[in-house]
Amino acid sequence: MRKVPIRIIFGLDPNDWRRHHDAVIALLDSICVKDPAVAGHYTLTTKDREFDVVVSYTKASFKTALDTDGAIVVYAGHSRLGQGPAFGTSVADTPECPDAAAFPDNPWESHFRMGYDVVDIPCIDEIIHHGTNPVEFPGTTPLAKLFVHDQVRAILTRAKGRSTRCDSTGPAKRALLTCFPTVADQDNCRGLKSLKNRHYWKARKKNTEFDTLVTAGASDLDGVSLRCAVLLMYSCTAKHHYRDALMRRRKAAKSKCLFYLTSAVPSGIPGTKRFVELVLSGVDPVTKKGKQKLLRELGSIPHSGRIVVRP
Amino acid sequence: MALDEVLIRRVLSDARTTDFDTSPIFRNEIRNQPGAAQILVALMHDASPEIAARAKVMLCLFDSPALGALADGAARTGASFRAELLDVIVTIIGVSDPKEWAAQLGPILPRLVHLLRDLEVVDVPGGFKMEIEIRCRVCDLAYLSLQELRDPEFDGYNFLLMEFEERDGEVRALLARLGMLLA
Repeated sequence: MRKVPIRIIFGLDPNDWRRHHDAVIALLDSICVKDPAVAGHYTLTTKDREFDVVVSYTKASFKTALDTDGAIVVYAGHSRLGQGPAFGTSVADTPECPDAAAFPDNPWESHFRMGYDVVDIPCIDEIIHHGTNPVEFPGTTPLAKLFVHDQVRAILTRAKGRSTRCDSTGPAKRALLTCFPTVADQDNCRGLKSLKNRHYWKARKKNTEFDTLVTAGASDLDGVSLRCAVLLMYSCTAKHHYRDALMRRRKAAKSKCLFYLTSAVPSGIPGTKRFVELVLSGVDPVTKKGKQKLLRELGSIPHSGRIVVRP
Repeated sequence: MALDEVLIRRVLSDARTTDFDTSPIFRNEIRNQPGAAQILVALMHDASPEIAARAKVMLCLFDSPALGALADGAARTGASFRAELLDVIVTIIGVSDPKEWAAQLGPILPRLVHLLRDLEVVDVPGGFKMEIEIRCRVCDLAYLSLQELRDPEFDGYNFLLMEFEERDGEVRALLARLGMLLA
């Protein structure tokens, strides 16, 4: 009898992934045996496999899952624009911008770092929206020493030597406070002026959105051995954000983990549930036949995020 | 016996079948049979939402001989329908060896190029709850699909971040390149 651990981890905010979450739980409730003593723990025994399924919500559980021998790990949540998946502590909703008194540490900044050294994020839709205050990329590290996506490399390369005047066009490092003082001086919902000393590299949406570069990295990923068999990242454009760091870690750790990554933006239609359902029915995501089956089934879901498998 | 719509409808209507690959009728009498893809494309377009969704699932289990019928379907009405056809085409080609993608895409490309001029916005059932607000027209999805099928490592992230006007420039450039290829 083959034992198959399945680890399903929901990132922030479970409410954004409510349809995925509820569909997965309903599936597990209907076909598995629920452990009354351990929350989120299920088992299913078939003629040749024993599935041990755990549903959880924390950064620690994601880390443990990635190092669980032979596990099939499903992450459902936001990519957090490449800053690393962020986690809460339970299925309870986390506000879009958590109050500083109720949440002294902003859960939206509780990232599992697993990406590039520097990522490009929007000031309004991310930093103001979630009340975060990410560390700005200081721009002092030589480009050759940075692990960055080609698209960020292109921004840094094109910005080199360009005017930092507010009216300059194209990518350039400009002080938000100088060019858009009202935008820079606003308080976020946690009472912080987290844009005040920030620079932007590109203005968008008719000068209402400003892309800035922040440090991220892969320190958490580099601390695991990736002993899992499969990692499905059901998040926004995971191939863009995480493929390179995952492949780098896979090689360094001599891991055999296969990565199922979205190359587009998935919708609320619960592809995660279909993935888990097929695995529990015996489809092996590691085999060529199993991969094809899963990709065909997920491909039939509207806006499934166009999943690809690497390597 | 010629494959008919009644048989396909019967399998599609049987809600007990959650995985068509487990259905002997599907495996032996429907999958990759001549005419089956045309019938399924018509059902995807005309049938009830439930049957249409299951027709799409079934079509994704077909192989490259179905691509012609799918490409013909791209002339039908409905932005969501055309977007879903693109999903099926990308899925069928995408599960094959990337070395075969060009050969599979080539014959149907002339019947898909018009989608790059299709400005209808695609409604997203269930919506996106993402960090970035995404709105897509059929031409945007056609651009991403064709680029991905031309290059498995194509990265459409920046394209998704663009406003429609900015995307239009990228789409026009692809149209021009394909125009030269198809001329």
